[in-house]
Amino acid sequence: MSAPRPKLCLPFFIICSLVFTGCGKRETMVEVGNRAQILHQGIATEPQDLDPHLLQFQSHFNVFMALSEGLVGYDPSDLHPVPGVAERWEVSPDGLAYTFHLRANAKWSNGDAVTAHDFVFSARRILSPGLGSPFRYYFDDVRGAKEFTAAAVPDISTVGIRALDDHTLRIELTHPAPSFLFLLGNWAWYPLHRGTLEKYGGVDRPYADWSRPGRLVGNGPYTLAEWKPGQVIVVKKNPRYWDAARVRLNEIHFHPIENADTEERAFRSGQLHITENVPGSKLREYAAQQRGPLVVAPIFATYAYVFNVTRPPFDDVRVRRAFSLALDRESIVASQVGSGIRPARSFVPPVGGYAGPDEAALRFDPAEARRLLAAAGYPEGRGFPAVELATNTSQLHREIAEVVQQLWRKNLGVPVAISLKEGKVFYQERIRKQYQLSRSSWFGDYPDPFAFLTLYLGDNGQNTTGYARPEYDRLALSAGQTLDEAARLSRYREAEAVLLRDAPVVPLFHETSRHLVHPAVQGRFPNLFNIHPYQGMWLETK
Amino acid sequence: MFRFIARRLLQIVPVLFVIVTATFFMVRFVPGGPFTSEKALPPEILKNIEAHYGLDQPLWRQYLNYLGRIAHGDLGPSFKYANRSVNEIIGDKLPVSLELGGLALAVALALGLPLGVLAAVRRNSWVDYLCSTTGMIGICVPTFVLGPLLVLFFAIHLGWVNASGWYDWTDRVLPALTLGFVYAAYIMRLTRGGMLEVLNQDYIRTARAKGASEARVVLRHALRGGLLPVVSFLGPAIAGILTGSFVIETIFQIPGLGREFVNSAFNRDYTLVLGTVMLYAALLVLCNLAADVVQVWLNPKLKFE
Repeated sequence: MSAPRPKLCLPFFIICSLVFTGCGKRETMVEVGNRAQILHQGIATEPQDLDPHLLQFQSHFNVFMALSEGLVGYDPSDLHPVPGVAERWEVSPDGLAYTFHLRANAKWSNGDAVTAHDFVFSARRILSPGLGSPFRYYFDDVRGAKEFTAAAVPDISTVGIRALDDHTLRIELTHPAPSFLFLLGNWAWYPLHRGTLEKYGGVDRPYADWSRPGRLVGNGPYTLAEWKPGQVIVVKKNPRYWDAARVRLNEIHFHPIENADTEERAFRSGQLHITENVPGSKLREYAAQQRGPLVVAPIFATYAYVFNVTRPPFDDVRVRRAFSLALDRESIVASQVGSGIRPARSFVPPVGGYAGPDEAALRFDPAEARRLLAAAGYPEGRGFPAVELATNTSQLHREIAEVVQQLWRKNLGVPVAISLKEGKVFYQERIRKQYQLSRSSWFGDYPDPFAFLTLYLGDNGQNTTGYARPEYDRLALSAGQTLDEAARLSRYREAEAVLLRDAPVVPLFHETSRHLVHPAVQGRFPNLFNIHPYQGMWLETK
Repeated sequence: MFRFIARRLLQIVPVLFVIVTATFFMVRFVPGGPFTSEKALPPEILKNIEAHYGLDQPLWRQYLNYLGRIAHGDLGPSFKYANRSVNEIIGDKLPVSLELGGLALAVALALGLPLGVLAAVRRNSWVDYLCSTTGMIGICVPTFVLGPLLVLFFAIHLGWVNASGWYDWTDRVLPALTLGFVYAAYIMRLTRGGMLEVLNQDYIRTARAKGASEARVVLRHALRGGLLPVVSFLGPAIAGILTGSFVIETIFQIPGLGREFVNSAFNRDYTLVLGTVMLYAALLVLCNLAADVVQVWLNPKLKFE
């Protein structure tokens, strides 16, 4: 009986010894990176393409920002526009015409010069109906842009973007737009290399084959070296970049790690310098660390619930306001320890010189809430129809919904059912207004109240509430035509006051960006749009 | 035997046809489409994109087009990964899953078979109890617990391997062990059960009576019959293990097919759903066929018919 034992145990020991010989504490990717100036950054999801005109997730902008550069760039600390491909520019006194002078030494990664014609070509591309870019609306302020897309025979010469010569570009607007320069640094305004797109067929249709390593020609501080789907995107320093002397990171490796827990473990084992997310379950612990890696910063985003105002019971403004007044936003925020979120006092997060209307529309006032609900015919919530709060499945969304559910039950006597839906189902039902009450967050694209207020214009395709009020549209749109800054902001304030009074949307809190950042990362500053140019970034252990 | 195998292989065609047809229509009736997203696309843009993919045509025509396509071996473009075809995605990711699956299978067999035999031979001894308990734990502890635990210890605490990724051979160790352990536990229990049944048979007593050594009795006479339940389990299990595990690939950030299989459904990436389902179905049929062949070979009571 003794014969089998050594034979059978042997394979086990062989495997174990094979597996772990050669292992040992070794230099981590981050340690190697710190030495060789190689940044490892998480970007959560795999980009569906490296076409900046078709960006899908904000985190992919990190990749595009490394590969391309617009007319202007951003100052890393406060994101004010700084010279990019354009070394200087003039704005006409009426704020309608911008003249950009392109630097002579701006080059594509294949050595071609970046010219004003490249920007005209790229504008025509993003405006073409065939491409179907979701960011066409960034050009709405440009004269003739909307008409170009709608025209049967589009003619680029009718659009207010013209190359006066190789190095001079003139852009004309229909009305003054204070945030226009900011938008110019954005992915939608990135130039694309005409020759490459024409060769591989991506000029006016999406999903062509020009964006692979070896093909992609960019004008940014880095060039695409490798793209292993589901694993890593590697970019290397572009020696032809005009400001290459200032670029200190030699390589950036972008890691598309979808699962936040996996990403956090990769960070802890020294594989990432920067994570895209922080798992909610770990926030509290990281927040408690003194000088820990957690970096939390306010961003220009609001987390909100929206009503379908076309269907009872939320077609009644009293019911909507009651639901808003019954919310103690402090307790919602308190449920997310370490997240840094701030209770919303307005729909538009504070930005520049703008603070929301002085109206106490978003105060916590359960007595007034009950009074309004009674006035609408539901004293103490009696007789209130069954309502469902729809949200897409995620731990954060569920936790928030549960707190809100409790508050409504306690303060209004109304039981609200939470319905967790798979992403696509959720979005489709919201777009088709097949909901009563739904989660809806909004991230402003540029530092101006209009980036938020545009959402509830009657004809905005993203406005899924059915809310349309001419008075609001008039106020919000007329503010944009106003040259005087103080008058403009005060008109926005009036518009927002109307919005909060009508309450198609219940803002809950203003969002934050949350990343784990290795202490060796230098020259990266938290900011409102979570944009971090790589030009001034480097790695240094202290 | 060859007629048997040929007939079974021919059966794959109608099976796949039924699966493709059912899947094609099922994914289309799920709410939401490949281009539904948080920011609603303007209708005219949506129309453009749908026309680009032929989604504006009647469903029956799309179905016929698709059948025509796959008859030529073209699984179509992916809806989610703009510039890549389904063939290319499967070509990229299947080898990764095959490698992971192969290693996990090796771990599972190397652990499960010897321990199962040992437990059966030393029935009701401490060896048996130890193996059975370990096996039970292996079955009960899910991979999403075991994986992070191994990562915590070997990657974060000891720093021997990466926590995730798929760069060099050290990155294969933890995922292969995690995935292998679960299957090892099943194989161990099935081997033990199969062996126990066989060890009570008359022909084993005959072998012993003829003076065969214990090792010869176990390894040569008993093991062949004792492996039968393992083989029938391994048929579908190998198909599953080779096409990738969503959980393991997510925990360890492995660019395999398992994640695509699940995510394609979330993304409503119709062509990728169909491609991966077909692949899985074909592999399942093939592995079951292989299991049947091996069973006939192991069990003299069975014949090809």
